[in-house]
Amino acid sequence: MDDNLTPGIARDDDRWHAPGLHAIGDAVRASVVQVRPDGAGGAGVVFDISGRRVVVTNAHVTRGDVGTPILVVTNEGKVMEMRVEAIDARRDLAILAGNPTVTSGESNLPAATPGDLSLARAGQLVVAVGHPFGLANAMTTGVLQSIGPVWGHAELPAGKGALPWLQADIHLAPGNSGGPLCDVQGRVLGINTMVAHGLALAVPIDGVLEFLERYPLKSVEDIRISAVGVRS
Amino acid sequence: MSNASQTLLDLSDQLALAVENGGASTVAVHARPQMPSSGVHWRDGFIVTTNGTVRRDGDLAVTLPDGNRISATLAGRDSSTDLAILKISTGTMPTPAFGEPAALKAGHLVFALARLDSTGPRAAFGAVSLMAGPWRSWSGGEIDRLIQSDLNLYPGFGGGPLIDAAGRVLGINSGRLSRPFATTIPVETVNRVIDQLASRGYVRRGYLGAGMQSVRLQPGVIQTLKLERDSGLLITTIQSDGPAANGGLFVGDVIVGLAGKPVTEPEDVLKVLGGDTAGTSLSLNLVRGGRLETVALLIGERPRGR
Repeated sequence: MDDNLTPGIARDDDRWHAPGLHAIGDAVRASVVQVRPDGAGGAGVVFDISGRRVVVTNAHVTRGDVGTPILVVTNEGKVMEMRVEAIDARRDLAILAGNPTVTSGESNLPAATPGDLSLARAGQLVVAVGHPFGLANAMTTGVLQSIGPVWGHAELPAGKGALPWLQADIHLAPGNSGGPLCDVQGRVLGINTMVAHGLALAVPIDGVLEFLERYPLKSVEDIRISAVGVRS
Repeated sequence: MSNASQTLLDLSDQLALAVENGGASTVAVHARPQMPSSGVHWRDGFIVTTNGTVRRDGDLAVTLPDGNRISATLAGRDSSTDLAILKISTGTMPTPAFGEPAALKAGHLVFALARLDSTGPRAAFGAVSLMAGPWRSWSGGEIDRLIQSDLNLYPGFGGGPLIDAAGRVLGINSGRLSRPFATTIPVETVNRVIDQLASRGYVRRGYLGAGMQSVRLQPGVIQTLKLERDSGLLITTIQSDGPAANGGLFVGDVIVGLAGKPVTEPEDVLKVLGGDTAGTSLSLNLVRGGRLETVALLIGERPRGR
């Protein structure tokens, strides 16, 4: 999966000598899709499960139950019909899969690389890619503020504040929902989900991988979850 | 990994290290209902926070960087500079490295730090947007320099430090003085106020006990008395038994000089009375009955809460 990131960064490095957040953005964008591009949509992140490509986004972006067909537009502009395969309402996550199945071989959908939250620290730079207010593939930078439950979370939907969140000092808008929050190496630390008091809240990548692990891949045999980095 | 990527990673690591260093002396302050605020272990045994976030005088506590919650007592507060000082037992945690606000320029990268509970520190990132000279807060406090930053002071960030990219403390972020920009009370102001609060519990301010307003002087008077300015301060009210009354001032006197310097606006008087001036002598140049007179009076101490 690293192969998808390195060439983009290396190529840019030859052209620019300044440290390039743009290179990170370019690398991350390849794995970010638009979900429901018909307005009021959001973003999604491509992950790999045993060579099969799936898209993770927010449940609230899909606005439908399992089985709902949904349009996805890749970074290259390819329109794909997918459907909602699984929903985790508690964490506001959904998994979209292609119909027919999209595989690594046939698609130009590079999978994102999950990051390591054990190395995440307050103050480190983070990058978000999404489609704020419909502006496709916009990149935003900021810093990680903290990881954990949201302080004084009474205003958040029932029980949500008590869950662990990546809390980032970064400016997000509608359309960033479902998109990735990455470190400066382009590795996904979380899925941007909501904003509280101006603070961006993202579902930590560990929770996303856990969800992918639970995901019943009916049509693919020999599921090896280790492909997405979860210790089995 | 490419050089560009490595440079960014190094930068990101440096910023996170700055937060870690600054966070080592940043505490959570439990002095109001619901959400705590933040504070800095400024000197051994003394926590500095903002006055606006200390809503009660007793039952105070702080959460230390190691997660322990300990009790604290109020050592003093000053609403004019929005600072409050809490006392905790000595030797519990390190004090910070201080930066130099004088060297700070618009564009420098800065963090606001907070601590709300046993986790943290929490960080908000931005750049200095404006540096300027001394100013007076709307409640009359003298602040040695204006530091405004383009960063978001999230709930609970009031009372926490502004730090530079090396983790050095530049001052205390005040939510109350921050509308609309994030405003920081600089290190030198905090040091000045903490000296008075630690010894006395409040900041002593000079006081004359007279009301005055700016008036233009007649050209003939200016010429005859060889005055430097064309206006002065007309005394309109005098508090009985106050410093002005005791010094023999009358309603109708026009102050044209204080301590040898011309004065034309009430603000000029506040400047002279600033700092720890209570109890010292002050000479006034007055126009009284068309003549110039010099009167000496003893600067009083402004009653607290005024």
